[in-house]
Amino acid sequence: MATAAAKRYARAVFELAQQDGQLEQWARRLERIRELFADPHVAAVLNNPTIATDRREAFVADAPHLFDEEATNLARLLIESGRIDEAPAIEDEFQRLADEAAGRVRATVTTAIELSAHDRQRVTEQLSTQLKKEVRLTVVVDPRVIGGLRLQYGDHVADATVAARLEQLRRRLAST
Amino acid sequence: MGISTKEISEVIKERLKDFDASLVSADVGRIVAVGDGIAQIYGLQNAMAGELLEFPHETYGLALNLEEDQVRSVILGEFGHLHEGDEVRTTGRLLEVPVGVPLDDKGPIKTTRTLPVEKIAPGVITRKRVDSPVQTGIKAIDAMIPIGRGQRELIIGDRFTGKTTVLLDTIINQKGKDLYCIYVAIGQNAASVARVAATLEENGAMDYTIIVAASAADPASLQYIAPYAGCAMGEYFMEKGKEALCCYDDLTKQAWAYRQLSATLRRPPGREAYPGDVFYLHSRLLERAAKLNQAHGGGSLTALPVIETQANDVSAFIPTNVISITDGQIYLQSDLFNAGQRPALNVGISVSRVGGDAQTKAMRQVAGKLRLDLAQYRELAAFAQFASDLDTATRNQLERGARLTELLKQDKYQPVPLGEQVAALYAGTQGHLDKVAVNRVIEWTGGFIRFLKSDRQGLLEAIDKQQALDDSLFARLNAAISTFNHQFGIEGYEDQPDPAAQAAPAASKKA
Repeated sequence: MATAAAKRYARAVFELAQQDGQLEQWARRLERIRELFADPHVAAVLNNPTIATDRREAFVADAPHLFDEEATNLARLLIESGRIDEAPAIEDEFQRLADEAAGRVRATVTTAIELSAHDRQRVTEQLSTQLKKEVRLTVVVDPRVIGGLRLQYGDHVADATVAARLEQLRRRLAST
Repeated sequence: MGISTKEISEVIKERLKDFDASLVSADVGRIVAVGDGIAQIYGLQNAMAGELLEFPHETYGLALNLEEDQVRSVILGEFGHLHEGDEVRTTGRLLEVPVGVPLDDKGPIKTTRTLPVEKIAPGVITRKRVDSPVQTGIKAIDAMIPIGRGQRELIIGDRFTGKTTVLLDTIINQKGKDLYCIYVAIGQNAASVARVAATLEENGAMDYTIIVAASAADPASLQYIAPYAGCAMGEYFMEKGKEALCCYDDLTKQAWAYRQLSATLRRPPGREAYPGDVFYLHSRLLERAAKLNQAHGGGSLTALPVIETQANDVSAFIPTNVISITDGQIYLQSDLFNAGQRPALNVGISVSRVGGDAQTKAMRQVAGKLRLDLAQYRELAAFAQFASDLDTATRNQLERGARLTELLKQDKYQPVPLGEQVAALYAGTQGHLDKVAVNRVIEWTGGFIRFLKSDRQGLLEAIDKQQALDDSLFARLNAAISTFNHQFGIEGYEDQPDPAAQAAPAASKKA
């Protein structure tokens, strides 16, 4: 869940990236920052208030092999303002803004067995004609759905799995 | 009771026959936090205000706060089994209750019809002025504070002043009449609700009464919803052109439940920590009481809300709100109750803004002056405490007042039919009780009614039927009072035979 602060950072990064035409590069930078901050050892040091802020900043600033210059600046800013826990939310929000700007939709399809490349293609095409947007499909395999498929994009879900139908049937039989 | 497996398989076949598992299409969100009956849900971008939300394990909730990227919802029922991360779906529906006439005694209501719990009140165009009475069977109310069909009359008083008794008397008095009753119990302990149900059952009132209960043990969300659910059931009857009466016992507890919900939803508290929309909470409920015009079926829904005051303080927030919403109030006082005046009605400050329009003509004829007489009596009684010698007129007025007050007393769960009320009040207001000792007035009333039933057959029925007194009925009443007073041993009265009994044989002779 994106907090107000994460949204603000993400919007700032996004506007900067759009201005410089560096959306792809910034997406990679945010990903790297998120990966580094996700390491519990790194986070323990960077969140430690007993270490002076400039020394914590130096931790990323003095390691040029980690990030390029822009990413280092963002990382230092986050360390300085104590917002390193927001990194995943910033990345999510940045992705959302980028998708929105590009007219893309991210969808997740859940099935019991692995979808073939052809089926995947069909789902993507169907959905993009329906939504009139480019669809980026993520495939999840979950045997609990038993059969059929479940499609989720944004806040919306279309559930045509056997599990959902069984649940409907159970309710019907149990109802008074 | 034995159920054969064949029957079970029949039922299953029946249910499966038209089962069509369709694609589920909904908006989803995830629970971020849950507690105090409130769930904070991330996502649900397209949720509607007041929409029914579906939680796992057949739990439902109501979307109340729509925020930028989250929704806060009250959970209807238990919430101990919900976890952070659980999926929540929109249903595209508003909260509904099943309505219809229950066919069986105790089982679930078998109906396919549902009505929304929250509904906009009928508009001006569909309404008609309130013109017919709800007979409560309580002499003091029917005579002085008549309640019309479609009216909202508040019953207000401290604890243990007989508020619920007024409601139960009214419900019991509808036996064999055309009024469907709904009793909504909010935040009462389960024992009280059971007692109410038992009382109604004993008096045969459950044939036409629905009880909606959200007891003190139920979550605040249910206590908040219960009055609207009861009202929806009443509206069902009203829309079918029938008459319904809905009692909300009591709205103070509903306001408390709503205060709790609002506080946990983080809405800003206002006066007495109630949220800003607590007035609207009650006004939108009570506005749904209406008398519809003939073009809309002519049905009606009468509302009898109850408010409990603390130490007779009617100027607290919730009492003033509901007083201003309703069309009058019946004010019950604990000192009157303790002094043995039951129902403990304070006639001076109880009013019905619908007034005489909602009274039968017979009652208007006999009780028109009653209210004024009693008001003067109370004023004089206050003065007379200081005065040692009073002139005859004042003393007479005091004597009359004391007897009228006595005449208005009645036992609980014994509503009085219109005819009996009219006969007794006529005797009282015409001064025929002035020579009866004050402590014998109740005895006199009981005896008089018995006398009318045994010796003057047809008189009470005639009043009930005509709902108005003509010269012949007045003559019969006067004769009956005179005869009974004579039997009671009061000077200045003599036996008078029933004029109707004389007229009938004379007519037959002529023929």
